[in-house]
Amino acid sequence: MVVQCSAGCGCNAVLKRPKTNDALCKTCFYWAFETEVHHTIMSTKMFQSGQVVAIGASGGKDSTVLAYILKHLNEKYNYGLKLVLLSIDEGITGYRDDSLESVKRNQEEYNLPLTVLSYKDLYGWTMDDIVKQVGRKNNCTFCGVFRRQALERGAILLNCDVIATGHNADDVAETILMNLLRGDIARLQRCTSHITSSEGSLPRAKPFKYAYEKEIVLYAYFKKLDYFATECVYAPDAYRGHARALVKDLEALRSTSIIDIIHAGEQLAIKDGVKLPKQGVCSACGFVSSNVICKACVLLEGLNRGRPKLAIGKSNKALAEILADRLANTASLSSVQDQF
Amino acid sequence: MCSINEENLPVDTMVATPKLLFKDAVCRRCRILKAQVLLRKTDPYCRDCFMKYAVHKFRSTIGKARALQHNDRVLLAYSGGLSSGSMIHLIKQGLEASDSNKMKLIIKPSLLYIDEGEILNLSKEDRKANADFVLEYAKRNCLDVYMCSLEFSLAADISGVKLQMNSYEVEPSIYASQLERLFGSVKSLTAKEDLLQRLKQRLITLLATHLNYSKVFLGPSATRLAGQLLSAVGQGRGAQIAQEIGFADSRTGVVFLRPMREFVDKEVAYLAHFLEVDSLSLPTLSSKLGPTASIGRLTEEFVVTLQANFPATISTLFRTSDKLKPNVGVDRSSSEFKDDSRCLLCLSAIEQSPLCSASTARSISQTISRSGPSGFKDVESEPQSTNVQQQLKACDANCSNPGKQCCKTMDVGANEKDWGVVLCYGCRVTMEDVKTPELVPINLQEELRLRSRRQMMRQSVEQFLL
Ligand code: SF4
Ligand SMILES: [Zn+2]
Ligand SMILES: [Zn+2]
Ligand SMILES: [Zn+2]
Repeated sequence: MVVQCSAGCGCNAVLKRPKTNDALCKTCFYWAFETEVHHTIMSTKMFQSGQVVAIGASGGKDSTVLAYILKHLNEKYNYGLKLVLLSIDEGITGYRDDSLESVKRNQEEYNLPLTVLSYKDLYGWTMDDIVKQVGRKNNCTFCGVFRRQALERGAILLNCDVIATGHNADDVAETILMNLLRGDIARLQRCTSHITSSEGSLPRAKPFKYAYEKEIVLYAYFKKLDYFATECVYAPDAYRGHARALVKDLEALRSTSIIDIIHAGEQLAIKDGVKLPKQGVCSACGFVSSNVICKACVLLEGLNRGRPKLAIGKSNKALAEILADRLANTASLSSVQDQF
Repeated sequence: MCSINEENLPVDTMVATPKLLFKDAVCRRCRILKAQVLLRKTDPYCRDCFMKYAVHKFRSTIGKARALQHNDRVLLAYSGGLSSGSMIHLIKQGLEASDSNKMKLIIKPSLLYIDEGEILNLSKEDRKANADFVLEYAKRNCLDVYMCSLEFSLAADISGVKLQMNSYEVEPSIYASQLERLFGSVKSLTAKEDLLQRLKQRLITLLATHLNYSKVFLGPSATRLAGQLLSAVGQGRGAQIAQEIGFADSRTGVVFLRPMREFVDKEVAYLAHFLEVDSLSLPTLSSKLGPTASIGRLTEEFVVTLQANFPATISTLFRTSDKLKPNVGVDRSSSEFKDDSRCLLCLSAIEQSPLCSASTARSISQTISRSGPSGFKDVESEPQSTNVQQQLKACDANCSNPGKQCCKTMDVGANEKDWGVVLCYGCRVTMEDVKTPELVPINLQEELRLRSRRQMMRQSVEQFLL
């Protein structure tokens, strides 16, 4: 049975839009998808003309489509942006090495400069080594914390003004649920903003905040964009599995659920008088942190001491104190030396 | 990129705790008696200590909110279930305590039973039998009980409602067939469940106001409410969490209180057991259906499963939601038309939808994929700005007034956009699934006209208002 495109262009539809269930032809779907991303970018004033934007590129579908579409919109609407690809090599055999190949192909096809930074270079540890130390349970804690900082470091290195990541609507919905479940009110509020900027760190933009994962896949499929589709060999923790499954089940029940969750998240307002952790900078590495010592430094200290479990358990505060003390000592030492 | 980063990592409470071996455990409180209760997988209690703990928790839930005054008239909504049954037992205990006891409750309660049999397709006999159970229960507890059937939620006002006291007959009424037609026209079970909740709230408000009760106790447990919290989030009701899950909800003018909100189902089961509460086994809209039948059902299953593995789940969800502010919406209290900012169906404040929001993104997607590029002529005819700054400026000038100029290209489809004047986001989502909106007892079309007109008037005189 032939279905007409619901946008009334007269063509035959080739797909059912996951977000709205409307039948669309290829052209109208491209147009719809791109127009919506453009609207997200414009209405949130995500970028300013003349800025250098680091696209966090992993070779996966989200970042591949992001790179493609930012380049396309930048040309079509004259955003006036300079785009660069920034890739982080976590050091996961069988996952990252293959996906990096795909990033390199993107670089050639889209003609965008690519920089690769590795956990090994930045922290002295690959994820493979870390997993050998900590086992398969807390791998994502290390990986996730290091990733955030690694992107920041890379973007600063490249003189970028803003980091754009491929986080899509499904990711945002999942993050809202995770933060409700883990009781993190500050992040709960922060995670829905289109662009997060805190003092002392580069702003992060999510142009796909309202784009469904399924539509990103459809877009890549019809545009024949080349991406790497394998999941990480170290599967995420069980808890996240639950939250992820909930988002998928909700979407199956009602396709607008994902955007409805984001709306709910955007409307959450914190009561007056609730204390939120203050954002400052880590006294060890100088990157943003809500504690004296940031999570990345604590984790790294745990690894380097051969006691990684200390860093993730309840005793992580103790570890942070030791680190702070040591810093204070070297500082006073150097100020003593200054006097002579 | 892998989407996991520091923003969404699991924390300590998300680590599964092993279960305590219960056999021969001693109560953690008195350290003398053998434990009969195991809470949170690791905390054993004897019967007496559990009851003390439970009574104390119940009273402190009520007390800390300072919601009650001496001799308050309170309606206790009774469903026949374990949770509301236990609630009533605990209140009875409080009423009967000696004057010197600081746990003594001084209120004037009556029961309220809403018969939902019509939409649950129960036979007349079953409905009568359930009502008899409730009557018997009220009699045993020496409390008056008001009884009413859900279909009267469709009545325009109290004059159309048949309210019975200490007796119940199922009688045919025009509203019964209307209710059946209405629910038959709802596309999804999720929307049916949401609509049921709204109608019940409306009916209870009507009755309480008429009977001159300013407070109503509702009996949902912590487990139920935690499921409802996630369900509310899944249906876009983020702004309403504080009212829908919190201890007190005063959206309708009558104050709804939830004194069982700190008891998880397991605690309710122990309570009911020790207090010898019997219950009706009541079906629900999704009773015979699977765990993915509706959003409400799904989230409840989710909470129950998670709680079994991670006993901090529910308390963490509550801790989070208790820090949220009830949405008050636009403050028009000084305006002539302060009700214009309330949702007709759930009476919550209607959220604003700024240009850059999920709510705008949702309607844009719908418009865009229904009208296509040709429906967006304005996009092309608008002078294409040559740089971002210029476009942003154009956008900026109109952000407070979406639907005009540079952003009119993103304007929203007629229907749903208009509903935004009279319904909150969550109710709009529900009403999208209702095929016979005219049967819902709100003056959707008329209010829509009135409010839109008032809005236009306000806009035209705005510059003269102080
Ligand atoms: S799943 Fe975990 S270990 Fe794998 S890339 Fe993502 S954060 Fe790293
Ligand atoms: Zn088309
Ligand atoms: Zn005891
Ligand atoms: Zn509403």
